[in-house]
Amino acid sequence: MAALSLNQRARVKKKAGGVACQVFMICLTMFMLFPVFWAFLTSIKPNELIYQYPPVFFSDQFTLDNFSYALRAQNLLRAGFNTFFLSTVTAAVSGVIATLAAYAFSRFRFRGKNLLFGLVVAPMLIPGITNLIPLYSVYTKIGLNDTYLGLILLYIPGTLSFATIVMRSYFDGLPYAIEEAALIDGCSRFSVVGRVVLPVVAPGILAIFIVNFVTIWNDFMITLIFTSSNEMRTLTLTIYNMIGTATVKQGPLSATAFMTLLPALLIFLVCRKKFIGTMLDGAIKG
Amino acid sequence: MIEKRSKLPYLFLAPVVLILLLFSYLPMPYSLYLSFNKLNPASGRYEFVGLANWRQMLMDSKFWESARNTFAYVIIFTVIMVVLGLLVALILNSKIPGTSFYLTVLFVPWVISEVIVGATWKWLLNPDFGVLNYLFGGLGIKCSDLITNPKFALVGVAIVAFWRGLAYTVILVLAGLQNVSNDYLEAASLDGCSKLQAFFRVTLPIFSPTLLVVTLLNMINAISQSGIILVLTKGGPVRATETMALYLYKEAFLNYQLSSAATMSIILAFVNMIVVAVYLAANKRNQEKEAE
Repeated sequence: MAALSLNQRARVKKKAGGVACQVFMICLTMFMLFPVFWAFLTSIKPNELIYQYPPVFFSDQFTLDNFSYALRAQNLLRAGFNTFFLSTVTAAVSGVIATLAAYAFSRFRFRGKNLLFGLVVAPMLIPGITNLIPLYSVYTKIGLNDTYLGLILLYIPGTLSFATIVMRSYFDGLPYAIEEAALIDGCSRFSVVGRVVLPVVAPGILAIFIVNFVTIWNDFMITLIFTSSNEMRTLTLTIYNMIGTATVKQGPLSATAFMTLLPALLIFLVCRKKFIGTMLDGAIKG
Repeated sequence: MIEKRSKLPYLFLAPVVLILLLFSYLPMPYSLYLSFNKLNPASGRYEFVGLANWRQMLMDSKFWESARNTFAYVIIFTVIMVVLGLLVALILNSKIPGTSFYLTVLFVPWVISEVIVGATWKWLLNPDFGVLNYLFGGLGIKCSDLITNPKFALVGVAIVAFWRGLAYTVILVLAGLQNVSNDYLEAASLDGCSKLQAFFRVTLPIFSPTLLVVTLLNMINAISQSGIILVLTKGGPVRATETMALYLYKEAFLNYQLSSAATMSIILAFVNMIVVAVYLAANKRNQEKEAE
């Protein structure tokens, strides 16, 4: 090393630093992905292999039995429909309402604007569970427990704050000149929104739809508390109930878990850039 | 920005405000109401009982235990998260090869439901068949202790929550790091600063407000964490992981003691509000700095 010039030494040091970073990140990658890989491996093992120690990593006995058992024993189709329905409706309604609000925040000057924006953002900082107790009491009284409407009404406020923040920053990034020109040309405010604004912000609306869809897809505390019948059960709640049984059937449980996480994971992987960008937007502005 | 006198913005905002008032703001005063009343099982009606719920809560040793657990959990989780989140974000910010791949990997647990996260880790840490016991057994580490030993259980749930939430912290830190202009760093390196010196003398001072905000946001998340704990340990073993959020969930929805749960939820909301107040102050200072 003594023979190396200062410049070379610096380069060697830099390289060593780069290698250390890569080693660290590769370890982290294994830490992040191994649990998912193991859940998948468990889901394709027959029962004898699952309950074996030391654990089995490779085998020629891999099977899809757990998947077919899970599909037969649980009402997974109904649960899948419920999850999909609740996620879609919530993300759509929440997206429309949030876009309206974001447009007002971005394009108008009005009294109480900052106060109202604070009012919209603040719920993100309230611990969710504290509100669920009084709401449960009210829901029991007015019979909204165990209904789609009741669940959607609980999901929407949980997604609104984030959606409004992201959409506002989206509108703020668009020049006002085009809308102004259309307004001067005699278009009404509503036709301006419909014809000029919406086409431009459609990618933003899609982005918050995706993030909110995944959020609701993954929820389980709200369905756990506010549903009771088998017909209203969601995928996540089905998984929770499978853990609760005295003898946990790890194979079908892993299969159900894998079928539930796959759609959300695929949506994320396909829309990776949009998803991360939206999270970043919400993070900066929030 | 026009039409100062228009009523249109209020019309656009009406749905959001209405929903949030009903579902996010009104529940709090209703909790307060519940805390002074109790359900009379005979009549099925709520009756005013004064401070009885409050007295009962303060005498309840389980409540104090859960408060201690919450405190410990928030500290453990936040320390792990901020230290490692900062490290990972700094590495990714230096644009090493594979940055976008690594960022994608971090997000994989983030898009998985807490109930699946809990179920998966419970199986990984199973005392009899868990693969982690097998993999780390050679090093003399019994990983299943992380959920079966009361001494380590809070660390165990914190690690799992960290696994799921890391992406969020990294994103927040990356957003903050973008404020540290490369010009400053270049100037520092021209002046003969080493990379490490540059980090502590240039990056950290500019960046510290963001760090504070990230720390507080993680504390807020930790205070209300209930899903992962519920699935992973149900508050056990021997209530070692029973935080306030979990205790009040059990009181309300397993024991159906809504009044006593509502009373606790007010305390939890109050504790949370203190952290939020600090957060808002820090955030405000942050933005003022940026505006300068």
